Amino acid sequence: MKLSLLLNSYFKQGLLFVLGYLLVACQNQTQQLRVAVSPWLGFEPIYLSKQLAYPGSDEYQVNELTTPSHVMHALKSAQVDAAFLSLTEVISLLAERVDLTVVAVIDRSVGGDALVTQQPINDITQLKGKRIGYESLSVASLVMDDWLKDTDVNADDFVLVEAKLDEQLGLFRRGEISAVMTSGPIQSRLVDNLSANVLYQSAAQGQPYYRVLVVRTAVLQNKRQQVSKLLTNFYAANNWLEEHSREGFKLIAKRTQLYSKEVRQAYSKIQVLNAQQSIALFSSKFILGHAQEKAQRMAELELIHRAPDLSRNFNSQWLMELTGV
Amino acid sequence: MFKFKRISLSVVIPILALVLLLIAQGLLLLGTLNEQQNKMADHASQRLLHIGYQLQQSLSDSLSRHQWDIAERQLTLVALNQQLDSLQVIDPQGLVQLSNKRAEKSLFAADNANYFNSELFNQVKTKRSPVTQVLPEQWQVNLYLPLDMGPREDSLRRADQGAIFVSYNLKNTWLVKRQIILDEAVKTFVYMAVAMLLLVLMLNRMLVKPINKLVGRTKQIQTHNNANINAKSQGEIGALENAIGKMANGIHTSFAQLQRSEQRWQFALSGSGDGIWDWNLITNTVYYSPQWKAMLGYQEREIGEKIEEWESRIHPDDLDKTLNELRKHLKKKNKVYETMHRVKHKDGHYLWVLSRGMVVERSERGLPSRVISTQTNISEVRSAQELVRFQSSHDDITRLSNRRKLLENLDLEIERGRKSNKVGALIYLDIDHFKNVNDMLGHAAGDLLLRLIAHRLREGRSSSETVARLGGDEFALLVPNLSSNREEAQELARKMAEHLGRVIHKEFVIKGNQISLNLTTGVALFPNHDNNATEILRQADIALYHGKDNERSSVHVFSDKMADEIQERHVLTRMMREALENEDMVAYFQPRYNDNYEMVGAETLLRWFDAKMGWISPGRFIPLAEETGLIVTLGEWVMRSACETLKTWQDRGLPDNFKTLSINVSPNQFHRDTFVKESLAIIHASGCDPKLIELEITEGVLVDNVQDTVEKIQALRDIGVRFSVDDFGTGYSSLAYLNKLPINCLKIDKSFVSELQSGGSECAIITTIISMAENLDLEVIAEGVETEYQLEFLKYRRCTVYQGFYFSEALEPEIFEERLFVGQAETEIA
Repeated sequence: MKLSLLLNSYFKQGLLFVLGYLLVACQNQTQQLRVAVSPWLGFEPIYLSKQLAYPGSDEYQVNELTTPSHVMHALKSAQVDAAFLSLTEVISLLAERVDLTVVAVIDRSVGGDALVTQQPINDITQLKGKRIGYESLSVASLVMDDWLKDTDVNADDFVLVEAKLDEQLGLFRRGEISAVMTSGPIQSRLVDNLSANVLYQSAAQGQPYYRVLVVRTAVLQNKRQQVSKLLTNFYAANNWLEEHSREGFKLIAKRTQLYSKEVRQAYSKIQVLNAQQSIALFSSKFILGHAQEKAQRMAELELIHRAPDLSRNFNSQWLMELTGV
Repeated sequence: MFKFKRISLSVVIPILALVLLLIAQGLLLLGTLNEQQNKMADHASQRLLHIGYQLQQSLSDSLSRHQWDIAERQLTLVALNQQLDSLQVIDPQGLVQLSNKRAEKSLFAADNANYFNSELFNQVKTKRSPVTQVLPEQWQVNLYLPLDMGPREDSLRRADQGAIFVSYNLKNTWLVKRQIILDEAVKTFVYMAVAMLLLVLMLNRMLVKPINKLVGRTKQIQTHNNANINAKSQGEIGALENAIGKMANGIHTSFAQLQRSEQRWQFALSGSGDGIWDWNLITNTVYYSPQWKAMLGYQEREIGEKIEEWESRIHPDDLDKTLNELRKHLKKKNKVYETMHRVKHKDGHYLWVLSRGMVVERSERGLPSRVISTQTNISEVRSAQELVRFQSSHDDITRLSNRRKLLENLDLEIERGRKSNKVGALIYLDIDHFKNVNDMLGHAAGDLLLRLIAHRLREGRSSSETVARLGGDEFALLVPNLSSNREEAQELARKMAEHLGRVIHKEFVIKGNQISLNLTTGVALFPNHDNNATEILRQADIALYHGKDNERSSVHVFSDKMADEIQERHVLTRMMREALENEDMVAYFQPRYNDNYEMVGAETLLRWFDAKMGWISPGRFIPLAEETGLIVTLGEWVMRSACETLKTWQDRGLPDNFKTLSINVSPNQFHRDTFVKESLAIIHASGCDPKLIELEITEGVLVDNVQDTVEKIQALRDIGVRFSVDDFGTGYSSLAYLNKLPINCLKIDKSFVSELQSGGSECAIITTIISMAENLDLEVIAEGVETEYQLEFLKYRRCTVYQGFYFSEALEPEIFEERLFVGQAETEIA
């Protein structure tokens, strides 16, 4: 057998090996996509995808954390690869130079946040000088700012204390805080169980707050398939929820240990976006502009050091692949 | 069919290495995977325990202060941090108080789908020690850790323990780990494959290429004499190149030598025309050289490769002998196989060949494995040999058996005769006067006559009889098994001899000449006493000579008496020699007289007196001397004696009347080449006057070689010697010869003189001779004058010189000298 032929054969074999290796490498998707989810009913479809055992749902691990701050921390510390967060929280992370990419806009809420006071406190004057708790790193801080502007009061009229979402109920019940900027099920518990008063609703400002799915940029290429699967299943579950809202709310209620009506009520304030709507926000650069404005505002409020350039942190490619656009 | 061994090393080695690597890596991989699986479970168990211990205290503290939210936070963070599947705080009743999965809260732990084991939970609660549960099939490791959930609010008694339940699904981790291991394995394999490729390239460059080159060059060795192999490669390959290069040179040299040897061999073979067959006994195939095939008239492709090609062509009469010789050689009974045999040519005729061969190779057991033989065409040699053999036993001219062959056959027949008691005969034949015919017609005609005689002798003879020519004009016929009776056999032999005589007597026509011959035959019978072939032949010869002596043209049977006579002749011959040596012979002189009774000359006559036998007649010993050749010596002695005596007479003073002293010269003596020289020497040595010498020669001398005779006579005439023709009228001399020959005298034979008184033709003959002599100016001497009548007749006829008893017999020298010197010739005869 001639060497040239052999070398050719070797070359072919070598190529096959490389391709095989690459193939094997590419198939290195057994490492799940770690996803952190902050407490927000708009993110429930991801749990639904697990509950409904969508194909590929084992390619991502959903970690439910109790506060957005923890989710942010988990993302920052690379404990997770992706997270469902509010845009405000994402901007905070981007300002801290955490390399993230927003791959989807999940929902838009108006009025989902509220300032809830202890039962005796009915107006803002009763609140002055009192301890108001809020999760400073979350969107609650912007909502606080909205309320302060709206009521024309200053922050120093109050005692602002850190109260993360998961401790708000306990602090409120113990009377350690007189009011709390909260949202979702906590708000419902405070109002329903502790007779708390809703002093302010974010809907009053009419400011929309967006929640997004963000992925660490470094992970995007390595776990491309998992990201796609995550998005596919999320929107599939989303569609299912839309089509089977009653059943879906029940499942959500069961998981979150809320009442179905609470879930429905919460969802009434959330506009869940489908993939096309999300793509539209990307392609029109609306979401980018909105994020830039938010970043600017946060910088003015000194919530972040400076407003980062977000132009490279928004990518609708996965959504477009998902929809075949 | 695929030949595995033809695949290049640069393919085989890497493939083998690759396969080995795959096997090794596969085994390693399996081992690693298995090991890692076990390790992972152990490691997971330990990690969970570690996590559990950490949580145990912090959760206990939080729960003790009813800080459920803090505890939940801790739980979720730990679950996130450690990537746990499920992390629960279970109260003593088994209810999930806290969980990283909200859906599991407030449900019984046993209802969860993570293989919670209530028994283990109870065990942990009771024994207050952790329990690790490994579920390999579910890829799950569960940890049950006791948890102090705080004091009772209503009692100092310690509350029941709850538990921390940690569930960790290893599947994903395992898949990841396995993937890593596989990746590593693949990477390693790829690296090894790359390394292998490099190795192959290096192997190819340093090993395979040089080897291939070496193979190519080695192949060229067979066809190219200048295929040089230089040691350029590394290490052992270079050494191999060097070794093969040297070997190639050696092979070239050997090959060249072999070629030259082959060329010489082929040249020798083609030059000699010898054929070769080379028989491989193992494969039973034979190589026949082109010369071998051509020798038998076959083309290259007409002869196969089997030994039968040779065997089948051997003459049937020679086959057994030839193959036996070969077998003997194969069995080491002789060093070389050699045999002469006949081989059939393509044309059908047989050639005589000499096959010589030997075993050139033997197996390890010593058995012959290869035989090479040459085949030389000896047909011509054989024919020559047979011709020589024939010629050695046969006469050249007549093709009859020769003496040697006759004696061989006679020996055989004598032996047979003794055994069978049968008498045979050897008939010895002599052609009478054949020499005369030979002389007359020439040797070619004589040979032809001999062949004709042989033909007649052969006619009618049986195969048991041998007809031989013994030489000259002598033949022999061997006739065995005539009779059991000797006399009858003798008679039969005699009749056969007489018949042969008649057969030979019939005329032969040679060159237009009609020739009639007579046979003298001697017969000897056999077996005779203990006589051998030579003796029998001698007896037949004796009988023949007896016949020649007595009655020619007759048959003579050997008798003892003949033998005695022959013996006597031998004795006489011997005595003659002795007499000559001892000078027992004396020259007598018989005087000659003229018509005035004056001695005018004398004839020298030899006399021999033996002390035992007395006077031996010249008529007895002279013919014997002629037969034996002694006559030459005798003649010389007589001539010398006569010349010396003449010299003494001269010295004393010869009478004027004495003119000649005649000396007889035999034809044998005269025809010698040295006759003139010897005669001159004798005459000169004696000192006598040659003019007084007269040499008497017979008519027979005059017939042979006239020119030579004339020259000899003239040579002696030149010094004055006279010549006379003795016994004139009794020979075959032609008158034409007489005219040519420078003779002086004719001597009328006494036979004519003695018959004068009968009144027959002798008178006319004598008259004619005298008249002729007068006309030729020759002297005439009459011999044998014994009576006055004869004398008167001769005188009347004008013959003037006489010799005979009328005047005197031969006288001894002293008495003759008295007469010569004392007085005139006697007037009366005593």
